[in-house]
Amino acid sequence: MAPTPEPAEHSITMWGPPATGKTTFLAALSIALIRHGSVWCVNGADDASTEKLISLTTSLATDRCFPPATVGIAHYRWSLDGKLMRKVPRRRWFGSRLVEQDVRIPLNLVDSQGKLVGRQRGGAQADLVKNLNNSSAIIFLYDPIREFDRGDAFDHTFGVLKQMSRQLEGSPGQKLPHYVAVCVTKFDEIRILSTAEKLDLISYDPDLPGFPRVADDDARELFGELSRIPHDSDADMVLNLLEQNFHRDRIKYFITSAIGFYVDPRIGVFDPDNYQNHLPDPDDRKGGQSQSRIRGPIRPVNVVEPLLWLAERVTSEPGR
Amino acid sequence: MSGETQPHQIPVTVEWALWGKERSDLEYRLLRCSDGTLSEANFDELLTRYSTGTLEALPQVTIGWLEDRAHGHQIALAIHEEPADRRVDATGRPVVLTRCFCVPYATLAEGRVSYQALYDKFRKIPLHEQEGTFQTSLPVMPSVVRADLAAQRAAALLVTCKPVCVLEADRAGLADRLEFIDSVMSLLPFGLRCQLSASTWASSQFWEHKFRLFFASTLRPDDDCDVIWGGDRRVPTQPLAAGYFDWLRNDSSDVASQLEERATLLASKTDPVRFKAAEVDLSLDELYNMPGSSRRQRSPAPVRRELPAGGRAEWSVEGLLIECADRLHDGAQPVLVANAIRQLIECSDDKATPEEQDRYRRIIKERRLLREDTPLDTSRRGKLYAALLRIAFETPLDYEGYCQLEDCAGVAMHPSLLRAVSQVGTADLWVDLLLAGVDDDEFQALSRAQVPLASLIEAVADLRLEPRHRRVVFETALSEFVARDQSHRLDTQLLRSALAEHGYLASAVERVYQNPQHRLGAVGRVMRLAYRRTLSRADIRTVLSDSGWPPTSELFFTVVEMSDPSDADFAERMFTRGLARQYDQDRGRELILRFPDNGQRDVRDPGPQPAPEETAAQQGLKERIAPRMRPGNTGSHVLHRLPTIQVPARRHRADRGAPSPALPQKVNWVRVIILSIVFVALLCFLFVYLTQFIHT
Repeated sequence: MAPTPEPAEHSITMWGPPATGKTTFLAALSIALIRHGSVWCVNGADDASTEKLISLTTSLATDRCFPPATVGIAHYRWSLDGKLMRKVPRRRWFGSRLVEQDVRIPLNLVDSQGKLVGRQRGGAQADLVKNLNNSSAIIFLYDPIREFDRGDAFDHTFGVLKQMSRQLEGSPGQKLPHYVAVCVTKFDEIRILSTAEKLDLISYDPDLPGFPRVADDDARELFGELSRIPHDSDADMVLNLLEQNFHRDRIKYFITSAIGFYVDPRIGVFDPDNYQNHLPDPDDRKGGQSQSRIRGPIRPVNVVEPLLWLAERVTSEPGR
Repeated sequence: MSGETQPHQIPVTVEWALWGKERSDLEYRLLRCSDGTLSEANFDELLTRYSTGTLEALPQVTIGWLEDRAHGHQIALAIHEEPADRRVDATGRPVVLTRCFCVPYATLAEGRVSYQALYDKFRKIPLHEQEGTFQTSLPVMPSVVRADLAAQRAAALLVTCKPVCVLEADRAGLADRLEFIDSVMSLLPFGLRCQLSASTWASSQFWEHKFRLFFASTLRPDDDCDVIWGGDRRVPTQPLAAGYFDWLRNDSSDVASQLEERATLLASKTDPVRFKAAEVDLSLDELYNMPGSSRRQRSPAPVRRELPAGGRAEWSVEGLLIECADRLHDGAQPVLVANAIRQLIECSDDKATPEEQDRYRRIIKERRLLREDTPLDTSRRGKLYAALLRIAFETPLDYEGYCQLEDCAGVAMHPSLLRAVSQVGTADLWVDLLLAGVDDDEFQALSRAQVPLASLIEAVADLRLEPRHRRVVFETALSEFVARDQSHRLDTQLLRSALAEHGYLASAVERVYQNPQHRLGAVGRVMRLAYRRTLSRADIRTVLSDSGWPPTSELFFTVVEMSDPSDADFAERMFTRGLARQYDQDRGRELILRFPDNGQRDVRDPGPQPAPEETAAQQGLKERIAPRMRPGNTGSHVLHRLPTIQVPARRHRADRGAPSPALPQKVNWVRVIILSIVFVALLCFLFVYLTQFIHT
């Protein structure tokens, strides 16, 4: 049976400072669905988008290479195809019953160059703000490692938010209407996982390979704690800034990792002493010119969940 | 760098920039640039603006341009390639390096230099160790062109000023693509190169790129024109493009020699022409009208955008609007601006269709032709605005047109524009009131016009009025009443009759003001103009109960204030009666039940509820009204309609000593019977449903 397309076109825009993993997040999407054995899958809605889906996914899964940095803005017309239990009316007046239906949720994803959200104003940034305002939902990526090194997340967030508010010109005190999935990336990095452990926010998957997880309810707390770590940056304001500008009940926090944890194939389970999947290439340490390396298979953590949450939210309300 | 000039070579000074990432960088940035007239900011803007999106195959070439007063027209050729050191950035991602070279358009035009020649010259010039600008020489373009059908189609489509995308060129190399761009541009006036942006590849995912002629794997969702690589035989269907396509080929049996002839002619047209409809039109006009530039006439001959070829005076209105906006924006000579305005004025006598006017308004809005800071003297600005109003709006201006005008002009209507509106005339009292609200002269004119009171009040009360205009219209009308009163021209009897028709404007005032104090003040002013005396019981009844409109709390307060204190209870009864009459029975009942009186509480009420803080205005209202109410009645049942005053605990009617005189307790037997029937039917249905359900 042909999937039932959802009525409204919803676009979801990726937003975050440079090198926070926006494109990698998209590249990991299909892999995550396949790994989970989900009923959902990602498909391209046109030739160009399909090609891009294939190249992003295979370069990450097969070549174990991070995708090249996005230049300008990239639009991907993908769709999430899957099954949903839905109420259908019984014959005559005999109420409704739950049946499984094929569903297609359009995902018009907009990936942008991180530089566009910086201080530099110009036509390109205006394009990004326009895309953000036109979208129904936003995936905001926050990379604590990058923030620790650079400390510019606030800088990259504040200006764009103010421009979005300016363009939408709501009444005083009115918040932006978007649904926002705040994704704290690079959970696979030692510093992030250790912080979560110290805060006692970790639980472990009962299924093999038993990856650690931070429950969605605790994600906000971890985000808050992580943003307070770089003492000389303004990262601690980012959380309040987001909640000041978007409706609190339309924001959800996720702790994610696009590449996931490394699992030693000989053991087959998560090893707390050997889980970092992203390593600098040995040549790099010698001062050579080579790329960083992904050690083992890609096992995304919490990559599908934000997208499904957003898709569910934006399709359950009338199109904006 | 050698500056030696060879035969058929033209010397040029080159400015340059290197764009990419160092190993510590996360984002692309300007790495180095020359120290010529172009600044780092110029290069940064140029390279950001003409971005291809994420590059997949290297090398690629982009062509961009820069134009300002300081630098004139500059042409930029950027080569995007993999760096020789195969460097990666701070996150380990591969870096693309871009070498950008800028040359003055005037030099290119002088030697008719091709893009291929630029690429051939610059591709081997490294910039890592280059210091400052350098001199070189560029070869003059050969006159022979090899333009296939795809190139002819692309050239013809470019005159429409829409982006042209070349598809299915996967197998074509960089050299082929550059040659194609050169071929296309050789079939257009050379002057168009001053603003050509082109790319040998652009990402299909990057919808916002700024290229006018580009290669891509798929079309963007925008309005791009497409050309299929390798001999696209499709003839353009757009009239302008079709006309130019015909002119290029001229129905000649020897198309090749014909094209060569045309190319020679086009190469001589080196005056800068921007990719703007008006300028392209003008350039084509000149071509079509040149001696020996014969053109086969199509039937009909839709070569011009709208009007047949001719001088500037025959330009389309859209072209004129754009031309005028461009001249104003570029700070052109006053004579040129005046000329453009004069032609617009000439056009303003022609009657345009609503669709045309819609298009004109869009241009006026986009190009901000009605902005306040137009660099014109007052007289000329007035003429321009008046011409624009006549061209793009129905004149005399009605309210709909006024709203459209506001939309075109932006947020605020400035005095020059309002004067222009007055000049072209108005066809609507609302517009008169809006103009009078911001201009004293207009107000005087309105006063002199002696508009009937009923019309003024009707205008204020009309629900179709846009919310943003309600306050101005109301206050202007009120000022007019006051002015008439002061000059003893106000007929209070007529005013009362007209006000009664519209509920004494109490509902209109509710829509105008959010603040209860302002509402009260406004209703008070209206009522005091209409009644200059203490209200009698008959007046109270007329105002609160018999007007045919639900009385508002502000109207009630005003009436209580204007009446004898002993009539306060009567006023209260009339108010509740007015409410009960105007709403349907249930609605009226619900409203009144929300307003218990006498300060008595329900016996089941757990105790006094903490009242939220009242504003000083609300407290003042209470204090003013309370002495006039009967003992024990604080007027709270009405005050509760004010937004932030808490409604006290609701009291059961049975707990009161006597039923309210305003709400006689009647039993509606018809309703009781209908409800009973419905209830029984529901029971039957439920029984049948359950029976079936159990069976299945």
